[in-house]
Amino acid sequence: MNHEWILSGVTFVYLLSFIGYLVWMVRGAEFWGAGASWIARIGFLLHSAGILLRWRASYEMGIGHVPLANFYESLVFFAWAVMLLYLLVEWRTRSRSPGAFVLPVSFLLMAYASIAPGVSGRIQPLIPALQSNWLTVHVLTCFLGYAAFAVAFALGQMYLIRSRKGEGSGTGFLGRAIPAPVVIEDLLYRSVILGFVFLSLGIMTGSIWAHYAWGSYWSWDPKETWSLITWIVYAVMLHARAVRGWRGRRMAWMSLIGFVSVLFTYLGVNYLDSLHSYF
Amino acid sequence: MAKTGSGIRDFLTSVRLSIGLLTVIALGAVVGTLIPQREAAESFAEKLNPSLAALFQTLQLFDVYHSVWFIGLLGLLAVNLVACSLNRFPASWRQFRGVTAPDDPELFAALPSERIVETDQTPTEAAGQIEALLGRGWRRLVKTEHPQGLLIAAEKGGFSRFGVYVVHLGVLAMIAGGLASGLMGVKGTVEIVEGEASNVLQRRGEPSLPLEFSIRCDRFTVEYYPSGAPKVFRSDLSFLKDGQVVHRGSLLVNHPIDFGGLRFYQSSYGILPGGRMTLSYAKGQEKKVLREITVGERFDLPGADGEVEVLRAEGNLMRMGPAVKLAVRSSRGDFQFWVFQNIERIKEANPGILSQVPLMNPGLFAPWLFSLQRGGERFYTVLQAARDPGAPLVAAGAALLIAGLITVFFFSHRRVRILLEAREGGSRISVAGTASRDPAGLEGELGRLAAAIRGEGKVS
Repeated sequence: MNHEWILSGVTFVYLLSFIGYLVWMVRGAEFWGAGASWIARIGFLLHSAGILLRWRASYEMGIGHVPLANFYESLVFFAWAVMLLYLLVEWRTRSRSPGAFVLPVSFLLMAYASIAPGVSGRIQPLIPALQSNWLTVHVLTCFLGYAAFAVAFALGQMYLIRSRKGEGSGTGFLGRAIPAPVVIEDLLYRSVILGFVFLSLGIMTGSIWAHYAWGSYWSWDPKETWSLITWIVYAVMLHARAVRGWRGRRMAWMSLIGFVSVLFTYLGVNYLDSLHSYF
Repeated sequence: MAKTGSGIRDFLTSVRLSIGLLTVIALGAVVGTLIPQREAAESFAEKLNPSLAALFQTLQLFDVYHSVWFIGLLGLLAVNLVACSLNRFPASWRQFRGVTAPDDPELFAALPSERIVETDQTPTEAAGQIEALLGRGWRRLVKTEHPQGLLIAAEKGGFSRFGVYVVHLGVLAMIAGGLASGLMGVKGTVEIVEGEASNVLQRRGEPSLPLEFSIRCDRFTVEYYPSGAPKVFRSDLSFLKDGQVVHRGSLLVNHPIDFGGLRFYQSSYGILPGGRMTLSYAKGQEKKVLREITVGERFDLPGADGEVEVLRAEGNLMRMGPAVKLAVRSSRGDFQFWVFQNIERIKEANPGILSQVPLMNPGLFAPWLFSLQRGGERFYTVLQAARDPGAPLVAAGAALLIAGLITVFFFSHRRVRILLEAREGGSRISVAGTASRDPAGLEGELGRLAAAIRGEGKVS
């Protein structure tokens, strides 16, 4: 089986799973929820297999490297990390309601990787700037951070819907399917913490790498600058919570603002002149 | 006066100021990514309305990250960070050293049933067992008399109260390191033509700096993948002092070389015209002949097969690299064609091109095949050189930051209090506690502790 086929197929598996979660939320029938969860797990296994096959294929081509070296591969890994975190949350909390909010994120990432023009799915050899062991650890930490922020973003939407006036009582299908605001808030906070630690590690590893590759640990390159901006947004969020007692909807809104900053760091910066042009 | 003093103090120690500063710094950084900076700013400024450009210039918006206001904001953030930390530290210290078990009558109110254990041991017997249980992992064990019985108190994770200060110290170290890099660091480029040496460090906006040694580029190599993407950029360098080679090394991207207090990086390269050209040619499988050529020269092919004239030479013809145009005059007629140095790559990228475009076929005068060994290009390599006294400080700051974040977010200061009350035929044990953060984690830990006292399972 070809890795490109598997990874495009995973896109549709995630779409299917998303529909399952949605129907489960609206209808409340356990059958749909369990089905959606199983489809998501199968999708994740296929996704992992696709990444591993792609890794092996690069060695068969004689240009072996970890599949984290171009935009396509970063999208695929981003979606994979989102699914990993989501499935961990689902398993630990035994609540599958975030699925309806997280699955669209992984689906859209995979769809973008598969069909967007200008995103090449070909395995490319490493150009000199990327020939470094820091590549793997830098991309890994950054995208785990992005993924945790994506999960927080999904939880933020859930929180805002659940805590809306009139839904607070927990009646209606949303009240039935979405856990109490306190529970969502705790998960959201944990996701942001995880994302913040990984983003810090990502910036740090990138800095060390830049020190060895470009002779400067910080050059105010747009991507660097935007990663700092994202870091500050979440730092403000965490300080506001710890010291000024922000909770609830304010935290939910901050998780949305933070994720907009993440997306700009990841995608928007490509429209600015950047040294990070390969991602 | 005292009032003003405390007003300034309140201002500098407020978290509102920190949040405000962080927000403004972030917005300033956004502006810096939207407006072209430094070198890129010049052409951008020309397109702007002159008065707007002048305003941008005054506000230093063409070099935001080195502007007085941006650095001033960072400085103020550093002051605020120190002030906040000093202001809060005594409270954290009291929390850390404070009594393990302050009297809180509410603590044991409304405990869930799984945190209450009934046993047939007397409180004193049970206390011994609990103390042994808490011996692993819990610190500052205290047993006191309580109006209702015996109270055992213990704690763990007290160090996590200091995590936030470690994070702040890390950020301060990074700001200081950045300042040191900017003020004391040396950064520049050295351009060296292949085969030549240079000792000039060119700096941006500053006079060039002569080095105490010179660097010779013995060879510059670019290698490509079949797809045309670059594979290797390598400068083989010799470092010379008083004309003597004192160090040799190959400089590659991601593999800097340290010499003479500077660190050198492969930054870029370029091609100059005017180098030697070497042509090779062979008839069928016969032995190749190498020949240095110049434009306009003529020479005869062996065996009086024909006469070759070098008509033109191009450094980068149709963006496909160096090429020479040859004319061959023979009894079979006249032939003209280009000989590209990168013919293998061109063929791979455009299959069938030689039959489609005979003008590009170096084997047009069959069975003779020509190839350009050296296309007259001279490489020059551009090295980035840097001395950065701030880097170790920044690295230490980053390590502190990460260690601090892990302490803050993945540990908490947990205090457990266990009340043992005498009951008929035994005792009743209540397990309660407090934590600096993560109430859910505390619940879990206390639940496991109660289960262990009950004799089910182990404390983690």
